[in-house]
Amino acid sequence: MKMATNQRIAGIRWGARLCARIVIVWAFCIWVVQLSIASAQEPITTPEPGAVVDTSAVSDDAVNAVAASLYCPVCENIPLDVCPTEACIQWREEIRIQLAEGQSEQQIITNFVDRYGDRVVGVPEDPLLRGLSLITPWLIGAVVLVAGVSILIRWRRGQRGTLATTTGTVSTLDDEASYRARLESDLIKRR
Amino acid sequence: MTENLLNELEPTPTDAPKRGIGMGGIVLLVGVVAVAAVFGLALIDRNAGQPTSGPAPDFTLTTLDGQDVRLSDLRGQVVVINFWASWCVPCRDEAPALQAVWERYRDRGVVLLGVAWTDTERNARAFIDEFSQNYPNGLDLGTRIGELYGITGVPETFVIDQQGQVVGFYPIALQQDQLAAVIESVLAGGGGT
Amino acid sequence: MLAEIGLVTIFLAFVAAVYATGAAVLGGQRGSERLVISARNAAIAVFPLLLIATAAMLIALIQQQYQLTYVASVTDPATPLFYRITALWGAQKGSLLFWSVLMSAFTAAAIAMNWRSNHRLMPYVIAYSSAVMAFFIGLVFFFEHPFDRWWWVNSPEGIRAIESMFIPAGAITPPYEWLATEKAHGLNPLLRHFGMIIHPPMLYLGFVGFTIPFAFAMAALASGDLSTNWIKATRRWTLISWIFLTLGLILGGRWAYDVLGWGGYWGWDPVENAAFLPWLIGTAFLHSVMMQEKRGILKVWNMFLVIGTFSAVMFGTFATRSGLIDSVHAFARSPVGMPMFLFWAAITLISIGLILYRWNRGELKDEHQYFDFSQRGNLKVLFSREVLFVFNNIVFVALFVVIFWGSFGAPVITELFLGEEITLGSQYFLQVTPPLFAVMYILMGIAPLSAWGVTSMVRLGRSLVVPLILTAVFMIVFVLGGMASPLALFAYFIVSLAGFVALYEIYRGAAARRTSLNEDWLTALRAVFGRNRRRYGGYIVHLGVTVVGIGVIGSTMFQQETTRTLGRGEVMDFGNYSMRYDHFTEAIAEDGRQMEIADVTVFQQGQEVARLRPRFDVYPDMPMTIAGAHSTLEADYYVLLSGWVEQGRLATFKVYINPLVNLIWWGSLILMLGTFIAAWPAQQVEYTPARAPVAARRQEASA
Repeated sequence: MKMATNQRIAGIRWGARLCARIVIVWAFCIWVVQLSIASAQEPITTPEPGAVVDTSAVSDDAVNAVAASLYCPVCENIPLDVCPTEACIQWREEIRIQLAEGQSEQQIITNFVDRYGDRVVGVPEDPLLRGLSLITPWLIGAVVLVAGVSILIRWRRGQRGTLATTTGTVSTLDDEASYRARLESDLIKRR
Repeated sequence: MTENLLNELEPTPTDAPKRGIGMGGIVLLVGVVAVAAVFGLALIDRNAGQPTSGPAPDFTLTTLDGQDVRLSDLRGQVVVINFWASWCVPCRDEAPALQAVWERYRDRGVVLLGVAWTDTERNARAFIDEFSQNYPNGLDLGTRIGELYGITGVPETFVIDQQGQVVGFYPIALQQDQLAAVIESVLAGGGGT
Repeated sequence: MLAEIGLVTIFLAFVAAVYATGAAVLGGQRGSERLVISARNAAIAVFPLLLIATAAMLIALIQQQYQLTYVASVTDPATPLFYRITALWGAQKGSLLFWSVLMSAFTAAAIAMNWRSNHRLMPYVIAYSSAVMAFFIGLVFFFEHPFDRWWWVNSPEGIRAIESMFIPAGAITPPYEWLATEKAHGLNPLLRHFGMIIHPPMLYLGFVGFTIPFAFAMAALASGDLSTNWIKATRRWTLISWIFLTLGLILGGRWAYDVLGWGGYWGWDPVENAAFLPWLIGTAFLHSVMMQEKRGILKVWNMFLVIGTFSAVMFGTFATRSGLIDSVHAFARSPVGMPMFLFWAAITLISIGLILYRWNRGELKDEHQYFDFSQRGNLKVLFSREVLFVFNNIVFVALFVVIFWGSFGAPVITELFLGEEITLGSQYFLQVTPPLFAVMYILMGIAPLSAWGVTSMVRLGRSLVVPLILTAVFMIVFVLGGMASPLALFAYFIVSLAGFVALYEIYRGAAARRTSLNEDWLTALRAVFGRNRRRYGGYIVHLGVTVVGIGVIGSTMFQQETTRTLGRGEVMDFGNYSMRYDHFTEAIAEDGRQMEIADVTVFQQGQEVARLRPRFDVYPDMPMTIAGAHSTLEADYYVLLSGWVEQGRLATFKVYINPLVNLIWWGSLILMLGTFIAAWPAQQVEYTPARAPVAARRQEASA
C-alpha cells in the first residue's frame, strides 16, 4: 500500500515536471516566433495628411485583395471586402487612397491594426499574440503525437515482457470459445 | 482529453483494481476546472458592461492637433466624453448640438472631449471641418478607449463630474437642451439624471 | 388567454420535470418500481405540456397578438404568415421554448421506446434527461419568459407602458393600434430565407438529440451497469441526432451562401464553429463505438466522447446565447448566460468525476488488449483497424482542439489576460485544419480495407490496387482538364481515393454475392445493403464526404472574384463567362424594404445561359445583398450587386466563380442517404460482442 502511494507521488511529480517542460517549450516557441516576426516587420510610414491623391488608377479588385484579409472593425467577423455597410464602404475607400499613395498591402494592414486593434485581422499582427495563437494548436498536436507514439512503443515493450511469461493469454483475439466464456462469466458476475 | 486517451492506452494492472485517482485524472480535472474558470471569468468580464457609475477609467487622448489630453488632469472640471464616427448617421444630427453646448459651457468649467471611434483620420477631419467643431477631438487608436468604456456603438456619451466619477451615460444622440440640462445639474452638484 | 395557457403549461412542465428527476433518483435508489413508473409518466407528460405552450405561442404569432412582447419583437402587421410561424425561433425567448419542446419530444420517445429493453438503466436515464429538461424549462420560465405582455398603467405622469408576466394592479390592455404601430418590429431580415427556416430546427434537433446518448451514458455510469447495453440503446439515437446536426450545418452553409453575400458557405465564424465542434466529437464517437461493440475496447474513451459531445453542445449553446462572443449568428447578450455557464460546467465536471470514479474501481476495464503485438511485424499491427480507428479519433479530437482554440480559447484568453481583442479568422483556420483533414481522408481511404487485430500488408496493398488505379485515372482527367497545382492534385488524390475505396468495397460485396449466389447485380446490391446496413451505409456516407471534400477543395482553392462597374448594355468578360448588364429596377417590397434590383444576362461561348437578378435590399437599419447565381455542376457564377449611381446608370457588380461548389450540396444528399441506410432498423439481430470474433474472421477472410 505504501509502495503504491510512493509510486503515485512519483507519478504525480513526473507529470508535474512534464507539464512544466511543455509550458517552457510553449513559452520558448512563442518567444522565438515573436522575435522573428518582430524583426521582419517593416517600419510604419505615416502618410501626409490632407494631401489629395488621385485614386482612379486603383481598381476595385486591388482594393478587395487587401480588404479580404481585413475584418470590418464594427460588424462581427465579416471580412471587409464583402461588408455592405456605410462604414465599410468608407474603409474600402481609405484602402484605395492608401494604395494610390503607393503603400504596400502589408503597410495598409499594419496601419489598420494600429488604428483599430488586432481584431481587424484574421491572425493577430502583434508578434506575441500571433505566436500564442499559431503555436498553441501545433504544440498541442505535437504533444499528442509524441505521447501517443511513445506510449505505443513503451506499451509494446511491456507486452514483449509479458509475452515471455504468459504466452497464449494475449492472443485470445481469435479464440472465440474463450472469448465467449469470459463474456459469460462477466455476465454472471454482473447479475 | 488527450491526456486521457494516453492513459487509457496503458494496460491496467489486473492485480490492482483500485488505484485511486491517478495522475491523468488529476490533470484532467484540473484542466477542466481551469477551462471552466477562464470562460466563467470571461462571461463576468463581458457582462460587466459599461462604466455607468463610479470612477471613470483614465486614458490619454491625442487630439488631431497633436496635443495629449489626459482625463485625470481634468479633475475639477465636468467632462463630457462623446464617442462618435464620421460614418454614423445619428452622429451627424448630434454634432451641431455638441458644438453649441461647448460654446455655451466652455468657460464654466466644462470640457467636451470628442473621441472618434473606429474612424479614419481623413474622414474624421472632414467631419470636424463640416460641423466647425473646435473642442478637443482625437482618434481612438487601437480602439483602446472604446474598450475601456465598453463601447458597443456610436454615438455614446459619458458625463464625468468634478471628482472624476461617471454620473451619466447616454447611448443615444443627445439633443442640445438634454445635454445642457445634465451639465447644469452636475455643475449644481446634483449629479446626472 | 393564450398567455395564461402558456404560463400555466410551462410551469406545470417545469414541475413535472423536477418531479421526474427526484422520483427517478429516489426510485432508483430504493428499487421502487412504483416511483420509477411515476417518474416516467411525469417525464413523458412534459412533452404534451410544452406542446400546448408552443401551440399557444404559435397561435399568438399567427393571430398577431402584439400584447405579447415576444410576438411584438419578432413580427409586425406586414409580416407574411409563413414568417409569423418561423418567428417562433426568431429570437432568444421563442427559440428556447422551441428548444425545450424538441428536447421533451426526444426524451419522451427515448424513454417510451427503451422502457422495456433497458429497464435497469431507466431510473437514471429518466433522472438525467429530466434534469436537463428541467434546466431548460426553468430558463424559459424564470429568465426568458416568452409570455410577458404589455400593459398600460395609470401613473401621476400619465399612462405608462410596462412589460409584465402578470397583470399589474389597475392595468389595462393597450389598444391594438398602439401595439401594432409602437411596439411591433419585423423579424430580422437576415432570417427571412428558406435555409434559415429549416436550419435552426434541424440544428436544435441535432443538439437536443445528444441529450439521449448522454443520459444513457450517465445512467450506465451511475447504475454501474457498464455492459454494452447503453451503447446499443444509444447508437441509433446518436445517428439520428447526427443526421439532424449534419443537415443543420449544411443548411446553415447554404443560407450563408445565399443570403450573407460573401460568395462562401463557411466563414469560420465562432457560432458556426460552435455547431461544428459537437459534430466532430459525435463523429469520432460514431466510429469508436464500433470498437466497443465489436471488440469490447475503448470503453472509457467512448464515455468521454459521449459526454464530450453533450458538453460541446451545452458549451456552444452557452457561448452563442450569452453574448460571450460577437457574431452575426449570435443571440444578443442575455441573462441566461450565467445559468447556462454554471449548468455546462456542472454537467461536465459531474460526468468526468463519475467516469473517473468508475474507472478507478476498475469497472471500465476493456475486454481485450488493444493491439495484438504478439504477431510479428509492427506494420501489420499499425495498420490494424483498431490502431487506425484510434488515429481517426486522434484526428477528430485534434480538429476539435484547434477549432475550439481558434474560436473560443485564444480570443477569450487574450481578452481576459492581455486585454486585447483578437479575431482568429479563416487565415488561421486554413492554416491549421487542412493537414488534419488530409489525415482524416487518408485514414478514410485505408481503414475500411484493414482488418481487426492485424492487417496483412500484402492484402491491404492488393485491395488498394483497384481504387488506386481509378484514382490515378481520375487525376489524369484533372490534369488534362488543365489543373496544374500540385497541392490541389494531392488534395484531390487523397479525397477521391477515399471515395473509390468506398465504392470498390460496395462493388466487392455485391460481386461476391453475385458469383457465389448467382444473383443479378440489383438483388446482390440490395442484399449487401440489407445484410449490413451499417457498414454499407457507412460507405455511402464516406462517398458523400468525398464528394463534399472535392467541392470544398475546388471552391476554396480555385475561387475567382472580381468587381466591375458597368453601364447599361455593357458586357464584362470573366473566366469563361460574359455578363451583360440590362436593367435596373427599384421596388418596395410588401414588408417595407427598399429593393434595388439589377437584371443581368450571363453568356458562355456566346450562348445565353442565364438571366440573373442580384439584389440589394435596404431595411431601415440593415443592408443586405442577395446574390444571383447560375449553378452548374462545374461551377457557380455568383453575382452580387454591390453599388450603383444615378438610378442604375452605372452599377457595380461583385462576381465570384466558385468551381465545383454544387458538389457540396450533392455530396450532402449522398451523405444523408448513407446515414439513413445505416440508421434504418435492421430486421435481423444486432451484432453482439460475442459474435465479434466471427465477424472479424469473416472480415479477415474477405480482405
